Amino acid sequence: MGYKGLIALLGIFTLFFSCRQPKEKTLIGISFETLQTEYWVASIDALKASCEENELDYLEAVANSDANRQFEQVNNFISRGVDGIVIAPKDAHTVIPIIKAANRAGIPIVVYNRLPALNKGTYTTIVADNYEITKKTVRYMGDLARTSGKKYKAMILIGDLGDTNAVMRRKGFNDAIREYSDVIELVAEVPTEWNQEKALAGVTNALQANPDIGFIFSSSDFLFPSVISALKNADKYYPIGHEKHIILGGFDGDAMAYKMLKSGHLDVTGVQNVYYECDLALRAIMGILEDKPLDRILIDPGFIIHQQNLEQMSTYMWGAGLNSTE
Amino acid sequence: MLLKMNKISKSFGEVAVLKSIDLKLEKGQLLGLVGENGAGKSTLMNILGGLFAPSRGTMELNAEPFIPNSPNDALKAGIAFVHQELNLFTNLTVMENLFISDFPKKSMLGLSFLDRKKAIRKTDELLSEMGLSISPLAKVDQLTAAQQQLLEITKILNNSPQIIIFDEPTTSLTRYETEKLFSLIRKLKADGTGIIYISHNLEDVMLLADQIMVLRDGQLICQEDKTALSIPKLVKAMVGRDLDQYFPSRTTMPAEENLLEVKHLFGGLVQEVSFSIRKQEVLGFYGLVGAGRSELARLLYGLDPFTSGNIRWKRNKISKPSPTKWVHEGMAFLTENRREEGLMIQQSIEKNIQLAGLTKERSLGNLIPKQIIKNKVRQQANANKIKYHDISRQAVATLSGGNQQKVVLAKWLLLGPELLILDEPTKGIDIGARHEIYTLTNNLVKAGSSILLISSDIEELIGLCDRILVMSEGRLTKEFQKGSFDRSNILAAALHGQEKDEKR
Amino acid sequence: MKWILNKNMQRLLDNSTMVLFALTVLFFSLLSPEFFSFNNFFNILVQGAALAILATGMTFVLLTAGIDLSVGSIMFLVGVISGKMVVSGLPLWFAGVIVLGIGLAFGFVNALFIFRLKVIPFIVTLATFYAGRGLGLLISDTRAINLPESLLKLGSGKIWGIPVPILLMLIVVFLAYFILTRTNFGKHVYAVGHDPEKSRKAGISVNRVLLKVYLICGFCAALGGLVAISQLGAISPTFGLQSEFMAIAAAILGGTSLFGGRGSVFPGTLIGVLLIQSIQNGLVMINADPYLHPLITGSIIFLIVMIDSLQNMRRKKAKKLGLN
Repeated sequence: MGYKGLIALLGIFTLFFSCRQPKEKTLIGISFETLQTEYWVASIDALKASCEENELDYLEAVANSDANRQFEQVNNFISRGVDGIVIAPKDAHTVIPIIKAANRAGIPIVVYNRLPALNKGTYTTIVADNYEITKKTVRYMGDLARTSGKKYKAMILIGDLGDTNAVMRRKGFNDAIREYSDVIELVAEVPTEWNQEKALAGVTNALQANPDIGFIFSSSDFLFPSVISALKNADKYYPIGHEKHIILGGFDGDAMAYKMLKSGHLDVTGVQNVYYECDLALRAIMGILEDKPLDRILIDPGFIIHQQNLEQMSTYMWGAGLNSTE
Repeated sequence: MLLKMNKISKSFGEVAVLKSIDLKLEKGQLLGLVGENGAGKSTLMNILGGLFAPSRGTMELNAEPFIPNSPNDALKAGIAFVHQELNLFTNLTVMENLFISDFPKKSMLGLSFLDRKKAIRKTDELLSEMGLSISPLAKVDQLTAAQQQLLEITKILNNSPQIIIFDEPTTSLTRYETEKLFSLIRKLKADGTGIIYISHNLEDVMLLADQIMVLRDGQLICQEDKTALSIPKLVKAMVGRDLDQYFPSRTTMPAEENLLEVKHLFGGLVQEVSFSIRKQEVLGFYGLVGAGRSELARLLYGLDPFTSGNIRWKRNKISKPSPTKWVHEGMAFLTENRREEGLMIQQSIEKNIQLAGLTKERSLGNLIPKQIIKNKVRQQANANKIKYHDISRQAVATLSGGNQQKVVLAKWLLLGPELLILDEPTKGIDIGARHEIYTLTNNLVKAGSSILLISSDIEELIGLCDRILVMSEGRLTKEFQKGSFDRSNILAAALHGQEKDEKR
Repeated sequence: MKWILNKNMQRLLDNSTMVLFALTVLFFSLLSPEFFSFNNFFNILVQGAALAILATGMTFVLLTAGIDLSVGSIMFLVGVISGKMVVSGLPLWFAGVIVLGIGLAFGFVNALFIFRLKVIPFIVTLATFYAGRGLGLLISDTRAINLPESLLKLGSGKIWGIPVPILLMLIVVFLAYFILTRTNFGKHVYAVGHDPEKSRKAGISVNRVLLKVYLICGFCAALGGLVAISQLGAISPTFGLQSEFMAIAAAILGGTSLFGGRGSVFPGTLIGVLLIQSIQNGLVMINADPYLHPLITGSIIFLIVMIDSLQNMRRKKAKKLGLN
């Protein structure tokens, strides 16, 4: 009996305080599908930081990979009367009814990091150009190979094939590598399903089948620990300049990649400019509120970071901003 | 005196289930316990087995007070219960089943492990004592029903009990296997074990028992020496009145016209079976378990597909039989597993009865006239003498076995079938309900229908049928006409194929 | 004649996973010479070690007709906590003991809810699945944890020439095999899975059996987690995701029934694990199209489940006819 009363009291309290919240500042609702990778954590942190910088209030909600819950959470935002919504959706399809709901309420919505499957309704998408960034990264690796004057056998770690980003990165890799067919031969495509253990097993197996692989691209930096483990077991993990060094490239720009760049083991990684994207997102909302015309898709061209530009670019690299747990 | 139960009474809430029952059992004596369903046999035995405590009354075992608090207490005191439903783990081996409660152990490095060798040796001993020739390492699900039954008994004997309670042990056994069980029971008796034997089969009870105890409505009617009793006397004691005749007589004769013709039917176990049924005929099928009788019925009714053969219904060829088609044509099938196949056990009596009749009573745009159906259902339920208190709310699960069977029968009778297939219609049903079912089927035949009766009870077939066909190993082996029925000849015809098989 | 044919058919069906495994090895050996090598077999075993340990625990649970969805989360939590402890300078053995205790604690909670509050295992372990992962994410701050060299050395170390993960796997599988076939408790696991009510009547303490089974599963999950991280070198926030399904798939492939009472750790589950690993290994060896991987794994599981249900149908039919 007692606890029911307590809950009721708690409910009244929350209602009371939420009603009293002053609504002078612009209120942004931030809905994230998940916080299960560092990238998402860095993104939401950056968004919140940008809000504070621009003197905006925000509400945040994380749906734990549940599309229904995300829909509920956005509906809650709408009934709380937010002025704009930034959403990192579960997937390209489930975001569509969410967009509809926001449109009906007349609240601007920005879709972060994923392209909705249907080109309908009013929204703005912000995506990194996975294809172009990957292509740039792989071209940098290819140039390294060509200048060394040796021939290389190459391996790529592929992400989950149900994920557009993974598919675009694979496509970018394949298109870039074709330009270097004179020096690089692709011998192993390792599917990882974004799973560390599968990545470790896959790289080990590929090295077993082709011990002379000298060129590895990982579709995400977070798989690097697995790659390193496999390379170490095969006695192939050496810094740049060593004769046994393998040309390594990645994508994301996380803390691990930053550390590897610093220690000279990683040649290059493609970075999504998280800070730029977050800024873009908030600016888009402000723009819509001020009735400025806006593009449907805003693209983050990203950048690549390598040994030569490490110093100047690391301030834009989100992974460098995180204190890697050591 | 091995066991004495004094003035045992038991009530569940307001309802008195047992009223001051006395029971005596000597060493080496077999006490037959009979009574209709709901007479209180199970409750009495459950009190002895430690499952319930009596409301009043005392028990003495070997002249000492006996107060079991749990089934385990009773087991430890040497009282074993062979339930109708076997308590075997079919996923384990014979040996594992025998020792599941307590394996022989050996210790190694201070830890104790199963002593497999010892367990296998002991299993071999126990099995050969029982005359069972199966491997200790055979999985139980590969044994026949009879072997499983005997294994269950072996398991119980392993604890060398003083008293064994058998609850309907022969329902899943063929006659031949039953004989084997009986000789075992006689041997146990000779060794001084006290036995309580519960069965609806009065002939078996008369054959085995030294004394017979009759219960009716929770009251002790009598416990007397067998020599002072006879089957009619027992029946009277159980039912409380004389049944005019065990099998009610029927005056109608089969017509000349064939209703159903089956030619060269193959499928599954069934090998080239041909027969026909005339209008108003009762045709019996006899055979051992696994002879293919139920399979034949299933093929005929379209529950399993047949590979080749020819079925004619009123001279029309039926190429693809299916239950829907047959219900429409007027054929009904009362299956052997009424609980699993014939009834929706949690639904009301009314819902169950109207199930098959629905398809025929459609009118006006396929709507079912509710009130007409309701009345018909009630009439049929009363005609079948189903004992219920609320036809539209009471779940079938709450009825006794005999009444459940009457519900299934009512379901099909509502349809007014021209041919009714009955598969073991009186299995596990008490004598009163049995008599009512016989009367019902006779009335059906008088009204012009035919019946195909599958039964393992030869007396039942002889008492009801116009003709009996005997099956063995999926084939028809012999046909008997009314007037030349002979128990031992029929049994011989059924065993014929079996013996051949064993010699091979 | 027909019976002989049926018996051979039956034998083939009984050993379907074994046959499939042999065919897989043959197939890849023909296509890739590197596949059929001593080194590669070691690779397959090392890569399968964590899964085998996990699936062994899962087999115990499945045998009682239960399921444990929390194993992947236990793995993750164990990884995070041991990682944090080792990184902060605590000795390796100490971290190991603590996290194995955590695995046991999860098993205890699962079992407690299942038999005290009579909640079905699926729901209970789904709750602990979320709780475990949530706790892990909270502790790790959703950051990857990089592990020190010492742990990696352990993962790639050898004793008597046998890699440590393989050794651990063999010990676990052997112990489980021994427990299931040679102890009272083992037999009780099968009995409870077949019918808890009958088990109770036979004097078996069903609750105690369930408790032990979930403790074993939790312990195996923790140990499997340790074996996995000792090879990975880092714990990402997605570590252990869907491991429960891999473990269940391996056990089912090895012939363990989802309905309880049937199955074995050896050869059963071990073969299931080896089959999964060899297929993954072989597909990389021959550099198959990445889209083929899930397709092939899926169809193999489908095939095995089909064989299993075929078996079930036979069993039922045999029972109905009362034949042997």
